[in-house]
Amino acid sequence: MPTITLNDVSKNYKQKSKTVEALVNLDFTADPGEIIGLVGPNGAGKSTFVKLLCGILTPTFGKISVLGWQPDRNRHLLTQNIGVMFGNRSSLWFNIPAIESVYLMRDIYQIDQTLFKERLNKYSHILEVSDILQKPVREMSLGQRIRIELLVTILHQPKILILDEPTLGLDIVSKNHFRSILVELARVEQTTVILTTHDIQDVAKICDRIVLINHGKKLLDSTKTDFQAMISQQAVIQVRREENTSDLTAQPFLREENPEWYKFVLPNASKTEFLTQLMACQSDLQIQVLRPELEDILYDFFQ
Amino acid sequence: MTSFSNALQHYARLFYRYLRLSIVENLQFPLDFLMSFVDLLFQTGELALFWWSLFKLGIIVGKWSGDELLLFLTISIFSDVISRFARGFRDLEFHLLDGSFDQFLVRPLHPIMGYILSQTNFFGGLLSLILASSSLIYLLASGRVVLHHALIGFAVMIIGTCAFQLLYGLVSLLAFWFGKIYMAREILFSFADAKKYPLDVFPKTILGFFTYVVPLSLMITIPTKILLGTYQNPIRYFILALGLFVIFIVIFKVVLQHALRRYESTGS
Amino acid sequence: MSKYCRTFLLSIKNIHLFKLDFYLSFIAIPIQILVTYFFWRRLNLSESSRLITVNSLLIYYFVMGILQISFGSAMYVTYELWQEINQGTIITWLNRPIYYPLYVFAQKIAQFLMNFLASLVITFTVFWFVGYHFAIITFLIGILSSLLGFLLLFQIQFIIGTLTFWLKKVIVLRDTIMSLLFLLGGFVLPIDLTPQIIQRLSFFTPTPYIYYLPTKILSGQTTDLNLPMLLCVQLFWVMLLQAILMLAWHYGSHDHVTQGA
Repeated sequence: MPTITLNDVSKNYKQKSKTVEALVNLDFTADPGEIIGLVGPNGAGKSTFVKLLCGILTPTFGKISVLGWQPDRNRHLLTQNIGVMFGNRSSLWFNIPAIESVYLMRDIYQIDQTLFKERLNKYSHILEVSDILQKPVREMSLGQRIRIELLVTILHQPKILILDEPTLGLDIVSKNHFRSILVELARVEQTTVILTTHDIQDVAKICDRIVLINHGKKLLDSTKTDFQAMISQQAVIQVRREENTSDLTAQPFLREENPEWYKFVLPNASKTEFLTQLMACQSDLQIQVLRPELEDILYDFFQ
Repeated sequence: MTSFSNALQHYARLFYRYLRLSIVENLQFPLDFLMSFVDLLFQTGELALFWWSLFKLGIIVGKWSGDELLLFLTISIFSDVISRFARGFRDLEFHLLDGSFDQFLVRPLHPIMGYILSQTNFFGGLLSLILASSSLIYLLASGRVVLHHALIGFAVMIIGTCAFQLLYGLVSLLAFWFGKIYMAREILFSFADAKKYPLDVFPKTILGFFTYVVPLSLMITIPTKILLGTYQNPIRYFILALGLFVIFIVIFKVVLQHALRRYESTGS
Repeated sequence: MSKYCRTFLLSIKNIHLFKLDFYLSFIAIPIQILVTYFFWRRLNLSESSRLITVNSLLIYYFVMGILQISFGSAMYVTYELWQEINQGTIITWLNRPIYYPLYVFAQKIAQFLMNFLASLVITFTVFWFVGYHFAIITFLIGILSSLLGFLLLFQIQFIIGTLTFWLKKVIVLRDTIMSLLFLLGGFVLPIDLTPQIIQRLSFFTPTPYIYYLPTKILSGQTTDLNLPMLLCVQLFWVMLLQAILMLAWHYGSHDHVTQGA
């Protein structure tokens, strides 16, 4: 049974005399244990989507069901079962040891003392924060702070974890660490994870599904397998730029150029014909055929 | 009933937790710890200086004696302890505008209670409470005043202060509709300036306004007069304070319900 | 110098953003004056040992309210500086060829002058309406004293803000010093109505020269004889605090600039 269902949901904002459509006729479902990456450019409607799920916003049209409840009507009941982390907003007390913020969350979510001890041990070990819990938050690095934020978000074992830009500003090591924790939560605890991000690597590495929103509309809802198929239908051709390389900017499928190379993204079926065309243009071109990355596929949807 | 008692226990635990957080935070900065106390003394000193100066000038304030005004001052500090819980309303508009109010909507707490608790300076409140209690003990021990109807007097002070702060909260909720409501709040504060005076020296119409519309007199003046034994039947003020409190809380609840539906969570 | 003039002009251009708030803030003054009136009119002022009239008190509180609104821009200096230093963004200003205190001052004085100008128009109108007469020369001296008062408030706020280089939190310290200012600065009552000990105590601090002296001059409640002396003392405080400000800024920005960066 899905944990989240959205049927034909729209959300409009009134700005002075005009109405802005933030989400338009959106359908969506999510199952337990699924990690869903919500991607899209700035202002696409991702945050509105997340806030509708939490019950912070009321939909203008359509029906939303989260864990069987209508979020805006049952927000209080829902809060006990979801964990929400806004990457750019901290819920930690800045000047005092992090453990005090952890105790605060225990009291807010009314977690039983024994369960609390168990979970604190378990999660602080997984998140590798046991040694820094006594440290004031202001003295922590961003990576440490985000891990503590995640700790206080999952201590009550939410059935749904909603993360809005959680990896913003993290370095590669911290990001990888963070991602592996999310995967473990989804696999072991069957937590549904909704992740909004601008980091395509977050999506490529851990998400079972990718939902792409732009201009308030769902443009893509694809499983990892479907995505692999999409990837296999595309090809990336990179041409190294030398002093004598002809100008290829007029060629079709050009995606990017820089002083070192030209990058073309095209359907696999057109690959041979395009290569011939390039060679005809200049026979000594240094050409590399690559497997497309996720962002190569998503690029068109962002336009 | 059980769920009510559970909720009460839950908020009592949170109250303790926030008090602890506030103390721990203040202990991190010893200078702040000291300064908070000095600040409180200066703030209280302002009012004390006012009355002291009037007495030195030979100005008589209605029928109030020096000792009675000292009790008035003490009750005003007690009332301030309660008022501190509503100070978070001041910044509500900013939290609504930048969308940071979101975090109070995703936790299993009443959003306004959660917000108020997180914004309250418990440490300052604790210091005020210590100062007010010390002053009261001094007044009683030195025999300068004798308290009458203590229970009713303090109950009226607590409920009256809560009623006024609910009115302040109601004004703050306008931010859900209008965004910036700084001026509406300033106007209410201008009226609130009157609470530092014993309001029974004001004309009757004005006193009526400050009792039934903006219940300032129920915060300090009437509770002090109850404690001084001025009224034969103080229970009527208790009923009045309770009645106003219930009316304001019902209005607050209804307005909040509508307000939350207006929330647009901007800023992200 | 042109960079500070440019900052000054930019700040004036920026003022329209806060114009509505500024004009609306005057609504609070009549209510406060009414409350003050209802309290004082019932007291036995004529029997008191000093010559106080309800009218003189109302004029005093009115001008004090006007100055409070006009000085508003200086009240945020500590907070803004504290944020800049703690968040490390101060470095972006230290890397530029400007003297930061002067850069901040150029912004704040612009806001003050615009607000003060509007306040003076309102003050003139109210004085004319209630038939209150004043000597033009006294009024001009009052404007000069207000300018110095604003400067003092700016300096105090900036010095407290600079302490962030050494202390991590300065907001409670600022609040405490501002409470002292309210206590000894003539906010509660005109200082000459307070007990002798408070009067003596306050005149050893810069507090009466921020709001109290300009208020007394603008409301025409000082004798002409002691005015030059009082203005000299005000100027002395300005120079002393400026020296402290420059020293504190010099040592703070050179030795402790890494904090929060």
